[in-house]
Amino acid sequence: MTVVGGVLMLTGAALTVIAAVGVLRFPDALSRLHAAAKAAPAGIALVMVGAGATLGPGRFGFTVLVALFHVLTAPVAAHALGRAVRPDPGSEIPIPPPAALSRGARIAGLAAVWVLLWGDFTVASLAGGVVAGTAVGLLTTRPDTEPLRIRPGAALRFIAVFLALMVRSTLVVAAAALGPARLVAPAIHRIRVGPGSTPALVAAANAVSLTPGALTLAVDPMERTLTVHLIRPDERELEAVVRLHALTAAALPGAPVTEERTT
Amino acid sequence: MTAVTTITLGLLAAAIGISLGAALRGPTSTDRMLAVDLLLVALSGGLAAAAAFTGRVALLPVVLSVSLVAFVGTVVVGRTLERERRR
Repeated sequence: MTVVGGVLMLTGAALTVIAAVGVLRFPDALSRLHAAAKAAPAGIALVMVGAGATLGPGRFGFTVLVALFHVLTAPVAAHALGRAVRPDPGSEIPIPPPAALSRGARIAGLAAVWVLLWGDFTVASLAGGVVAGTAVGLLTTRPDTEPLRIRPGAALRFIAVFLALMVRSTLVVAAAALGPARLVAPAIHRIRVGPGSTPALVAAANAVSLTPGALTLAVDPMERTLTVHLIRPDERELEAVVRLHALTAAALPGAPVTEERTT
Repeated sequence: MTAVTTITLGLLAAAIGISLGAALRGPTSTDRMLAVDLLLVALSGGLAAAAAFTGRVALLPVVLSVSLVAFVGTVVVGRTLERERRR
């Protein structure tokens, strides 16, 4: 067993236990979601990467994919549960047209996932990936999708800030889970963010759920607001929400949603 | 069994036990579902760690399946609970 893999798995397992303690100790369902949506995916991602490092390069891609899956799906799952318990159910918000990468980029991405799942880069695995990627790409194409453009430099800057904030938020949740009860003083804030495209707003909403001590409850693309549940509100966390959105808006350029374009 | 193996698997087992307790306690369906979600997430981590410690790579597809069930199940239950509340 490699030392790095062992250390990563130990750290991740400890974070997962802290998340479970948070779920047991926090006073209400929305606060408990913070523990389940932040500390748990961070912990499990570390366990996965550690396991991959131990199993060797052939399996590393697979475990990194699973780790990525946990990090990407945790805010979506938390949002689905958060909507069920948020105090104000809210009105029906118009759904803006969906955005998607170009077909070629999607097929290439799906083929890469396929090859990583197999764990070996051969002509056969690559061909299988292209066939599966094309099939999925054709089946999931909607006629009304907007093209999704990504600025690589800005995207990298977002990912760097995102990872730093994720470490901080995990520490905040861990301190709240293990520390005195006064560290949990939940409140709901409606935060207005700057201009940006709809994909940027969606990306920010999901990133917010993973990073500062906040959890997105509602997104309003017309008013450009994010309704967030904060585990312990302070100025820094409110600023972090606006800052995260500014970074995703730079990474995902596009026109903001308008009345006519909603369906 | 090295110390790292024992502690890692012990911690993940503790996380599964605690989330099982939280799922039994509730009190609302949302609390139970988020605890079950955490249980499955911790289980997928435990299976991955077990695969790493024993070298049984056949466990890895199980890790992926448990992760998928955790996510899809949580979203479906969340949406159902929301729809029931709106009625």
